[in-house]
Amino acid sequence: MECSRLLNRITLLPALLSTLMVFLLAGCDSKPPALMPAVKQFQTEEQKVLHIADMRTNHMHRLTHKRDETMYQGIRTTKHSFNACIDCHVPAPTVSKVVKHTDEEHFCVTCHIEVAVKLDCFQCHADRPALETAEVVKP
Amino acid sequence: MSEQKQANLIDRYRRRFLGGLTAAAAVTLAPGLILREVQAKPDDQPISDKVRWGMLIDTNKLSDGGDGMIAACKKEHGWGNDPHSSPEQQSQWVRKVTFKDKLTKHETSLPVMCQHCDTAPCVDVCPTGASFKRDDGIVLVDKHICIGCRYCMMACPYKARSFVHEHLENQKPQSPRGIGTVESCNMCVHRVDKGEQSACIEAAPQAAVFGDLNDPESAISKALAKYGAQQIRADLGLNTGVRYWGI
Repeated sequence: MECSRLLNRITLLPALLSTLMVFLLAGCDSKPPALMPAVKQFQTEEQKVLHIADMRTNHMHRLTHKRDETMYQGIRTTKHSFNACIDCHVPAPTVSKVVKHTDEEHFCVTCHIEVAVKLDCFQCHADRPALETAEVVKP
Repeated sequence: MSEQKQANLIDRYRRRFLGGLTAAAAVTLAPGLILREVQAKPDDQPISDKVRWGMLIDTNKLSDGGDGMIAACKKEHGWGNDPHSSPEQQSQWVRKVTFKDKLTKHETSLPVMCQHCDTAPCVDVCPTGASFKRDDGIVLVDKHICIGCRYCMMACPYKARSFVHEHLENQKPQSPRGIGTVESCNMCVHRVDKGEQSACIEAAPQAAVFGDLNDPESAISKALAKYGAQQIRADLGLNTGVRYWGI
């Protein structure tokens, strides 16, 4: 009697776990949300693919690294600069439409809502290009 | 104050300056000194401790007591107009301080901002290391690690720091400001890194010089070597980066 109950438990646990795994993996299958297109586009498709692959996994590391370089060493190149990201990925404010970080369509926010990761960059940083920058970037 | 109004203030300041002073007297602070001399470092190079940035302000030549400089700072950094803060809570990166000589009744006004001390009390007391001095002498707050405890505000003898009390939006890209952190004059560090001068200096070119205090050939060092200058509360021995004439 004792022995069969133990056996039951032993078989039940892996069964439960594997069912759970199936559900979890199903979650990974979901497609990333559609993001708003960048203002500037890369010259070649290859550059674009590389940029997307790198940024999907590493944008937070790139930004943190750049943040400290800028803050403490005054290195203000545009590569991986937060303002440069915003200038390209968030549309410039116009009279009729301003995309803010509280809007779901904001480039950063779309994904961060999807993955439920809180984003506090925009408590301090500008969430949209400055008007004069916007003029320059405009094609 | 709206941006338009601030712009007007600066314009008014410039007009008065251009109209009221002769060109020769206006562009030279002292005979033989040239004002513009900031050298750009390459964008990808780190700052160096061979440089120490400083300012020299001649209060006698500030016809408006520094209002134009303050307006330029507000415009550059977007402070002083936080919608939900009371007047006491509003940020003050630069303050206009006026004092009167009891005997002569002569009034002097000067803009007082972060004095970018060599031995800064705010850096000394900061529990997280958020308040720090860059290698080139500019004192900053790293708002990423500032916890908003406001020890630095207590420690600063110049009352130069402010605390942001409310959620802000539409900040200037070059000057991030946000709730729960302390802020102060950063000598327009984004401009300095590009080889430009601070916004306030540009607004009062007849009365203020910006430059490298460590370089004996710079205009500011020459002026200081020749004429000397005052520090506010020199008795504290903080070796400030901002010096004044006429106080």
